Amino acid sequence: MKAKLIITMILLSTLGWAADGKFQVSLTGYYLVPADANYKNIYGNDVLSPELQVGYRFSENWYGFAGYGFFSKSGETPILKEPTKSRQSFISLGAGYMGKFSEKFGYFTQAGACMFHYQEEALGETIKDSTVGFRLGGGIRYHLTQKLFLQGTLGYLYGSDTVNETKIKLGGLQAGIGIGLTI
Amino acid sequence: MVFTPTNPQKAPANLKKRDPLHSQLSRPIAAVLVAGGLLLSAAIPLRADVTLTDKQFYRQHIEKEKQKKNRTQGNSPRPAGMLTVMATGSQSLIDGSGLEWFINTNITFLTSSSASGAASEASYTHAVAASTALGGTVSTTLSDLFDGYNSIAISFNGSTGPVSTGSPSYFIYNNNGPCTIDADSGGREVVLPPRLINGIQVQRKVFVPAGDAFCRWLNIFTNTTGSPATFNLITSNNLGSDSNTLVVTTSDGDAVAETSDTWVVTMQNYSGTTSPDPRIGHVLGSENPSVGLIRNNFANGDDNPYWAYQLTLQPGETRIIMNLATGQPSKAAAQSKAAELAAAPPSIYQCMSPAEQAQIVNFGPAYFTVEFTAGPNGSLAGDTRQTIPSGGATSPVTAIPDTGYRFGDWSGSFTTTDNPLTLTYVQSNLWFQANFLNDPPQIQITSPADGTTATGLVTIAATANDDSGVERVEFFVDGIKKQNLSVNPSQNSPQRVLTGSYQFSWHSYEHTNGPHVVRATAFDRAGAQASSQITLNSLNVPVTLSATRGVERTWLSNKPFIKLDIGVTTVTGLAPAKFVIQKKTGNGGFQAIGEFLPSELQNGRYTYADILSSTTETFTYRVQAVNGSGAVIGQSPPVSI
Repeated sequence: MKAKLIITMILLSTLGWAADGKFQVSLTGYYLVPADANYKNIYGNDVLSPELQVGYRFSENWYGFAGYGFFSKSGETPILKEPTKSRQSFISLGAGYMGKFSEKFGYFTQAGACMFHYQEEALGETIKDSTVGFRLGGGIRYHLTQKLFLQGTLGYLYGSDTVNETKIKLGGLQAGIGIGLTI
Repeated sequence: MVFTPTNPQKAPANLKKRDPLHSQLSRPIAAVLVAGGLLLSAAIPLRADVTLTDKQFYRQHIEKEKQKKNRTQGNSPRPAGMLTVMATGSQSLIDGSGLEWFINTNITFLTSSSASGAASEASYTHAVAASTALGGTVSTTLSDLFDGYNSIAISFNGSTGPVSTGSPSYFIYNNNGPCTIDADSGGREVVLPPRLINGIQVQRKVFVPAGDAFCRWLNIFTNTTGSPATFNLITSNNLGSDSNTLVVTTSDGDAVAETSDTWVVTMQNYSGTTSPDPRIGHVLGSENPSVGLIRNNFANGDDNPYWAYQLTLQPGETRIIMNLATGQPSKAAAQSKAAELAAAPPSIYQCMSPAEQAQIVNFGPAYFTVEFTAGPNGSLAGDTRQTIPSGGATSPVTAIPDTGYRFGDWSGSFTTTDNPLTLTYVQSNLWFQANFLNDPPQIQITSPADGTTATGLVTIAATANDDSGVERVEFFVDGIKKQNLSVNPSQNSPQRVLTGSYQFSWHSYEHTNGPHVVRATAFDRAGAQASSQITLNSLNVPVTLSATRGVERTWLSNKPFIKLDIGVTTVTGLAPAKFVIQKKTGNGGFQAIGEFLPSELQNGRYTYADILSSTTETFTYRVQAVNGSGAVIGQSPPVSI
C-alpha cells in the first residue's frame, strides 16, 4: 500500500508540474477473465478490477504510460469448503499509439511490462509472491469535451510463476470502460 | 514210658527202638486203615511187630512223598484261591531261597517228632554255595534238613520233654483229619484241623513264604473250658544232622541253649570239609515275650532237641506260640537269618489276621513306624515319628496351618481329613503329610452400587483383605483387565497388606451404552484369588467417528488432509456443551485440535478437516462430548488413519 501511495503522489505531482495538455489520466473498470484455471475453480470465471493509468504524449500519436490496478476475491476450497481469499495487483509501464477517427472519436493501443504481486490465504496459510509479465491492449476513446473523455478498453495481462511446484498464471483477458482527463 | 529216638546209624540193631504204640495191634493199624489212605497204608507195614526207628520210618515216608510229587509235578504249591483238602501225606512248599519244605498233614500214627504239622524233610531244589570247614564254599544241593521237625505235644502235668509216644504225660497233636490250604495265603499256608485235648483246642498253621527263607508254625490254643487252664507246650524234633548235630551258636552268642535264648543255630558238623545238610536257624521267640521258654534243650551230638513253653489260658482265651525255622547254606547265614526273624520283622506276620498277631505270646508284637510330616505353610504338633506295635494306635498329631492358611487333608498312606489325626489298629509302616491350603482373600466392591447408571468417569472402589496379605487387585470390565493395582509393601509392615482399599477409574464412555460387568479380583501372596463384581449400566452420548484421507488444492496451495466425519446421537438427560476433537500426540496422549458446538451439528453430523503437512504419517483421532462442567460424557472410539 505504501508503494501505491508513493506512485500516486509522483503521478499527481508530475501532472501539476507539466500541465500543458500532454498528460492524460484515466480510471478504468475492468471485467477480467482470469488466465489461471485453478484460480477460476476457486474464485470463479470473472473478477472486476479497477486501474488508474497516467500517460504522457511524446508526440501527436505516441505516448508513454504507467498504471496500477488490482483485483481480489474470496472463495472456498473445492472439497473441504474452507474459505479462501486471493489478491492480484499489477504495476505496468509501457508505451502506446493513439489516433483519431474524427474530432471527438479516436483510438489507442498500448503495450508494456507488468510487475505482478499475488497472494492467497487458504487452509490456514498465506502464500504471496511477485513476478514480471506483460500487457497488451487497446481501445476507443470519445471526447466529451476537449479535456474529458470516455474510453472502452480491451486488453490482456499475463504473467506466470511456479508455486508449490505448480505453474500459475496471473492476469487474464480484460475489457473495461473508463473515464479520462487530458491535462 | 519215655521213648527217645536214637540214631540208627550208630545204634546196634538190637537196640533199635520200638514205638510201643506202634506195637499195639488194634489202634495204629485201624487208624491207618480208616484214615490213613493209600500212601501211609503203603508206608507202614501192617504187622503188629513192626519196629521202625523214626528215621527209617520217615525215609520211607519221604521216598513215597517224592514219588508222589514226581507224579503230580508236586514242586508247585497249590494254586491260590483254592481251598484244597489234603489227604494224609505231606504238603510241599518251597520258600524264597529254594528250600522245599514237606509239611505233614494228617498223621495218624503216633510218633514223637513227626506229627501233624511237623516238617518231615526240607531240601534245596537246586545247588547252593554251601560253606566249608575251610572257609570257602562248594556248590551242592543240601538236603536232609530234618527227619521230623516241630511236632508238638501238650502236657498238663508240668512235663517239659522230651516227648515220648505213649506217655500219659504228653498229648501229641495227631490224628486230626485232613488239612486245608488257606486260600488267602496264595497256597502258602497249610491249615491243620483243630483237635480238642482236655478242653484245650489245639490247631496248627504252617506257612512258607514265596519271597523269604523260613517256615513258620502257629500253634494255636484255645481254652474251651469254663476255668483257667495251664499246660506246657513241648516240641519234638529229629534233625537230619543225626549224631553229628553241632550247636553252632545261640542268640546270646554262646553255644549253650538257654531259656533266655531266642534262637539257636545247629548244623550237621563237617565231615572232612563239607556238610551235606542245610544249616538250621531255630527261632523260638523274641526278646521280652509275655510267654518265654521254660526249657530249651539243644546239645552237641543230639539230633532230638526240644523246647517248651508254659501257657495259662483263661476260659475262652486263645493264645499262639509261634516258631520259625530257616535253612541256610552257611552258619553265618543261618545266624543272621535267625537273628533277623527273632527281631520280629513285619515279614514274619504275613498271612496272619490281626487277631492272630495279637494272640502271639512268645514274640513281641510287630512294630511299625508311623511318620507325620507337614507340607508347606504349616506345622505339626505331636510325636511326628511314632513306633507302634501291631494293632496299636498312635498318639494324636495335629496339623497347624500358618497364618492365612487352613488345614486341607492328610495324604500319604491314605487320605483323610481328620485333624488331629489318630491312627488305630496300625498294621504296617505308614506316613502322612499334612497339606495346608491357602485361605483366599476377601474382596468387596463398595461403590457404586450394583445396577447403578454410569456416565462419564466412574470411580470403582473396593476393599480387600487377606490373612497372608493382599498382593494385588485387578479390575476387569466385561472380563477384560483394565487395571492392575499392585500393593506397595511399604504401606503396611512387614510387607503385608492385610486390608486395603483400591480404586479404579472406569471410563464408562469407552463402552457401549448398556449393562457391563465390573469385576474386582484380589490375589493374595500365595496366589489364591477372590472376586467381587457388579453390573453397571453405561449411559453416555454416543459419538461415532470415521476418517478419510484426501488432498485439497486451491489456487496456490496443495494440502493433504484427513477429513473426520463425526456422528452424534442425542441421549435424553445428557446435554453436551461442546464436542472436542482430539489427536494423539507423539507421547501417547491426546491433544485437542478443534471443537464444535452441538448447534453446529447438521442432522447429527459434523465434518472436520485436519490439514496435514505430511501424507505419510498415521494419525489417531477421537471426539469427546463434554458437559458444562467439563466432564466427558461421551467419546468416540479412537480412529487411526
